[in-house]
Formats: sequence, C-alpha cells, structure tokens
Amino acid sequence: MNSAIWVSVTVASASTLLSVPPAVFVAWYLEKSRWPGRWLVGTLVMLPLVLPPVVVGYLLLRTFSPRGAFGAFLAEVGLPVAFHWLGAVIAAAVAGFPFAVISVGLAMKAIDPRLDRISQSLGRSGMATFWRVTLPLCWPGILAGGAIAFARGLGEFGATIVLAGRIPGETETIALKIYSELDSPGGEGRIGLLVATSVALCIACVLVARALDRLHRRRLELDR
Amino acid sequence: MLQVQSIRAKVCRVGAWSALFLAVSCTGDGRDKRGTQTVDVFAASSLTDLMNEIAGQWSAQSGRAVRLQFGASSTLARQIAEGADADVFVAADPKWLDGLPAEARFDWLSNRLVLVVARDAPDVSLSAIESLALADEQVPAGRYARAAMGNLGLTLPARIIYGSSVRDVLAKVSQGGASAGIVYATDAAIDRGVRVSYTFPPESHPRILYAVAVLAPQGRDFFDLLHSDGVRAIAARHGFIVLP
Repeated sequence: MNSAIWVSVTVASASTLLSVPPAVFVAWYLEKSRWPGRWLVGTLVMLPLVLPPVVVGYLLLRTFSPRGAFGAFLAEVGLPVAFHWLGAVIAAAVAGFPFAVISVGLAMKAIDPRLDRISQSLGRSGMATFWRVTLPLCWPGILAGGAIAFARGLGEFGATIVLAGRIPGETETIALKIYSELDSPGGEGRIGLLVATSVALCIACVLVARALDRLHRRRLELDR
Repeated sequence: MLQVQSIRAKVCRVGAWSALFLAVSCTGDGRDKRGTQTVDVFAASSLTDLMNEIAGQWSAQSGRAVRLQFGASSTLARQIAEGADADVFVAADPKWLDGLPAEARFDWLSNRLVLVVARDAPDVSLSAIESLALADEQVPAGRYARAAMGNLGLTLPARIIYGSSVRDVLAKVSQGGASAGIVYATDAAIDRGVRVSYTFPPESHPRILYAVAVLAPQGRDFFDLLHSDGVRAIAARHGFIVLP
C-alpha cells in the first residue's frame, strides 16, 4: 500500500521534470509566435486535456509497444517504456503537459510586453530575451505550472493502465491501487488511507500553486 | 438590471426544459426494458465469445434483447451486491454466487488452465518465468493460477503484471507486457498473438466451474436455455468442457 504512494510520488515527480521544460518553450512559442499556423500547435498541445485518457494510452502503447520497432529499440538500449516505470512516467507527463502550458502561458501573459520590446531594442535576440528577461521574471509561474502538472500526474489512470499496466512497486500508483482494491474483498478498509493521501497531496499541490502564483503576481507588482 | 433578470429567466427556462427532457428519457428507458423484456446477463470475461454467440442466436429467435456485461466474476458479483440489475449471472467460480439471492442455480461448464507465451516466443520453464501476467487474487483465474503454481511447488516470479480479468491477463501477454501469463485454454484459443506453452494438470488446482444463477424472473428463459443440449454443443465447440 505504501509502495503505491511511493510509486505515485516518484512517477508524478519524474513526469513533472519531463513535461515542464518543454511546456515552458511551447508556452513561450504560443505567446510570441506570429506564424499563422500556430493555432495548430495550440490545438495539438491541448489534445491530452480533452481526449479520453484511454485513447491517449492506446496511442502511446501503439508508439512504444515492445512489439513495435521503436519500443523494441528503447528496450534494447535499456529504456523500456511499455509496462515499465517509464511508461507510467510518460503517461503522467502527457496528461500534465497541457496544464503546465496553460499555467506557464498565463504567467508569461502577466509580464509587461514592453520589457520584451525594450530588451530587443537594446540588442538582445529573441532567445536571449527569453533567457535573460522572460524566464527570470516568471519562474514562480513556471513552478506553479509544475505543481499543477504534478497534481494531474498523481491522478493519471486511463493512459497509465493501458500503457504501463499494473505492476506493484513499479507502475501501480495510488489510483491504480484504489481501482484494484475496489474489487477485492475487504479492500474498502485499505482504500481509506489511499484516498486520504490522494486528497491531501492534491490539496497541497493546489495550495502550493496558488502561493507561487501570488508570489509571481507580487513580483510583477500586479497585486499592489 | 432588467437585462440580468431576463437572462436569469432564460437560464431557468433552459434548466426546466433540460430537467423535463432528462425525466422523459429516463422513463423511456424503463418502459423499453419492461415492454420488450430485455434480459440483463452478467458473465465471466472468459465467456465473452461464447455468450455473444448464444445471446445473438437466442435474440434472433425469441425477439428478446439480451444485454451482456462481461468482467471478472468478482467484479460482477460486487456490482450485483451493490444493486446492479442482473437477471442471470454466470461466474467462473461458484463461490461468487454464494450470498446472492438466486432463485435457482446449476454448474454449467469447466475449463483447463494454461500458461501462454507470445506466439513467436520459445517455451518458458515454469520455474524461471521472467515476468508473469496474472489475474488478481479474487478473480477466479487468479485464484486457480495461484493454487496451481503453489501445488506444483513453484514460487511466483518477482515481476508480476496484474490483470483485472482473465482477458486483461491475455491482452498483457499478447501486447508484450509479460513473457508469460496464466489463462484458460479457451482464452488462449481465441488470441492469435499467443500460444499455449504448458497445460496445468487438472489436479493441480481447484476444479474450474462455471456456475449459472437466475436472479430475477425475466431471466428464467435465458437460464433454461443455457441448460439445453444445443447450447452445450456450442460451448463444446468453443473448447469448454461440458458437465454431464
């Protein structure tokens, strides 16, 4: 039972580390790009949010299946995904990614656009402005996005059970453990602690995200 | 202010219409069920293909609809105990019928327990399975499998990928999630992605018994049908062991 909590926390942590850096770049791209086809990128990014999680799981399983060339190659180089810990991480990362993009995007929107223009007029390139101006200004917003992505990763179920299966101590997260305990006689009693842990972890994530968001706005002097 | 009130009135109207629509669609469903005497059948997941064929034939002849629901017997038993509407319940282990208010019941079929591997994989030694797909302990296939491994003096491998039903276990092997899995012989036969590597001796595990119970009067005809020789012949063709 405690192993499920441990698996959940490690999977959600790794998935957050995996999803937040690309989410920051995508959010920045969506914010700055003037390419007419950028709506396509925006739509693709939001897909995991609206697709049925089992569909996401199915597509991931097709991509990473050990029966396929890519999955077999990954297993060969020591990075097996399907039905392994990494599969649970990827399922959670994909689920958390759009949340991180939305959250980071909002944090970037809150920055005065003139700062960006000033930096570029002083000779910094777009990329340098991102590293020297945007990123230092919105790190609390990025961490808030990470907290939300972490919470979503903790709750991942549909894609996880399809891609990673239920392996105790490796891919059996709190959500999967609750699912199996629901069916086992006497499981009700063991569910209590898991449900309580799940609720507590998510409340903590939301509180952390709120605090970081407030810090972000205060740093931008929006809350005065 | 006036505008706010008119919006509020509009919202109320929409709400009332949706409530009415919901109420009508709900009663519609209920009437349909009583009128045409739909039979709700809950069956162990290993019976999926067999029950689909039986129900399809019977529906065509009798004009009565059969609503089939498949899952682990333990899952279905819990759902019935919590109030799910089942007229007939077929479990892969008679113990899951105990405690349910059955009007009548009988032991129907039996099966064999096998170890399957991916179709292109070599045979595996029972004592050196790398990773095993196994049904949960309360699922009949999981209980039979554990008993068989224990009685043969084998310990379960460290890496186990759990299936919530025997068909879930089968899928895990054919998808490459485990190097072997323990399922029924009839399951192995329907999946082209796997082959049987070993058949457990019947004495190594409790006898596999599919038991049928009728839980409501409208299930009586279907319950009697399962008793018939015609249906037994279909079951035998699907590879089940027909009980005398």
